[in-house]
Amino acid sequence: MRILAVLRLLPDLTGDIDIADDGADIDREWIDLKLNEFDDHALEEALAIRDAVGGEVTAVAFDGHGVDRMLKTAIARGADGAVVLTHDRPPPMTASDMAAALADLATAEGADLVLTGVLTTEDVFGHLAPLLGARMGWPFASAISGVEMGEGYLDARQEHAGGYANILRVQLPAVLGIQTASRAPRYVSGSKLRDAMKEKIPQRDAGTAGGWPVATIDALAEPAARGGGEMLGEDAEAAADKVAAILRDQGVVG
Amino acid sequence: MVNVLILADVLGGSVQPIGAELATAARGIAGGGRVDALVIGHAAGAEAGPGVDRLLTIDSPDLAVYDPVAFARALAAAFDAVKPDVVLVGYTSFGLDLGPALAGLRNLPVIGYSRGIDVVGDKVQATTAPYAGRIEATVSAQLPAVVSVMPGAFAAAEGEAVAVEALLLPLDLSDTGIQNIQQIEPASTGVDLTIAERIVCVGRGIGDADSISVTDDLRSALAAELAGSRPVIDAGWLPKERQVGKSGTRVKPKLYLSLGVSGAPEHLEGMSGADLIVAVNTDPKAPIFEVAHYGVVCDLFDFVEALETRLADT
Repeated sequence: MRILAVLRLLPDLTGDIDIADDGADIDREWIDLKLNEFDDHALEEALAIRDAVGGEVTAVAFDGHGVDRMLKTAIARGADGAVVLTHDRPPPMTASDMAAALADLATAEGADLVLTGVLTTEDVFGHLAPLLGARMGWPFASAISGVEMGEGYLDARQEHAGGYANILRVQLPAVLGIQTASRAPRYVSGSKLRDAMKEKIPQRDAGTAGGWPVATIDALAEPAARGGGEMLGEDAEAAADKVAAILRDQGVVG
Repeated sequence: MVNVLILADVLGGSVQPIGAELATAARGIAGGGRVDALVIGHAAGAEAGPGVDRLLTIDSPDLAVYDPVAFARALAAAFDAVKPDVVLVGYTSFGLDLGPALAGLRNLPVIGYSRGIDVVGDKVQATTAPYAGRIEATVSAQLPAVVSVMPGAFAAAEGEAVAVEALLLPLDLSDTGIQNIQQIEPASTGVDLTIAERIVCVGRGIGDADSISVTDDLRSALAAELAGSRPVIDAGWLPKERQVGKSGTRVKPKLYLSLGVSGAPEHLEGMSGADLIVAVNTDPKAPIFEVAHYGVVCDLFDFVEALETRLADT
């Protein structure tokens, strides 16, 4: 069982997001990056499957600031290997470009399963898992919240709105967009992390762009305020006074 | 003149509200062109057609239950037959699969997270909300293109339903590699957020499952139902039926008290219609404040304790 777990670093949205001078991308100079939370779950699901049925998990990422450390952390968490795909595309990379490179990699590696997060906050060019699945002619499904392995297939729970869900029996090879892993993503010990930091992550050329038509970002802007309401300050006691009064005024409480 | 094909989601046997919202979005760009809605599968509802010129259906025994690959092939077949300039899908569990898959199958560009759409010359231009709505990106693509639209971005189309027209297309639905072996209905736990008049919603800021009980007395004083945002549900801190947002429930209570919810777009779409929204978050830039009527920037635990005391005084 050969599993590729595709990991992406994203701007940490607890920090400021500013627009670069050219107006076509965010300012990535000083931005904090963190592993996409859904990719975190995808890696965990890959490790859980490997632990259950054996095989190898390879963590994959497209080159960029912080990627080397992210992949080493994935190894510390239990991935059997990692590969960084080198490229010269400006960020954010399109899902089409990613799919082209990953299709090549999955074929070259003889992958049985590609797992990645169901979405990223940067997905203005569409979501990766179904695009990759359709390109490769592999079965695909998004919004997966747990996988159980069978012989040559897996059963994946796909979440829909309002508590509806399906269990999809998916033949391998396949691509899944993971929303939640079957178990919580594990923490990594300091000693394992220190050992993993000594690893050398192999590189592979992501190849040329897919040649498929893609969308382009014309401009970025601060979002227009959607009529944001009244701010009641930062003091919990004073704000509670005001909120209690508002609730009484509006008849919510007596 | 722009011809538009919209994908109407069917869940639990009924066409979802996103279909009528996409109809409004489609009419806005069609400019005299044709707007077709497509329902894939058995649950084709004749009443699902307001705002469109034709309601097309594709049905087959292989489309009785959802199979992402089979549905993507059906959508691609409809695309070939109808030849639209723009395909609109919702940012829903179905749209997540089928929009990018259609793009992959037919070599189309795809735009995600759209809140506004225009067609300029031979391009579609969309206003999108990446980075959880912290940035607004104008994204354009050559026609024909697929555009994924955020739920709630457009008002639902109204008007008379139109006749259903079955698309009889040669479909190859064999060897999809997927078999839908179980359809799970929502658990009937008695929780129905859609009818709750008061909701206290906890987000990731609550920290852990045990801390949710800190809100017990306040919820009791407000006679409010408990809800959670997606990260809280995904972490297993609350059951799925208490989820507000795109993959949960859309709510419209008289009071929505949001505690430690940052306000990702999928959450805002599920609750922004509430009559009174009070939001508490430590991040003054949290998008939840854009839709809140009143915002407080402080530790939610301090606020809960303080408000609880005030309400106990009454």
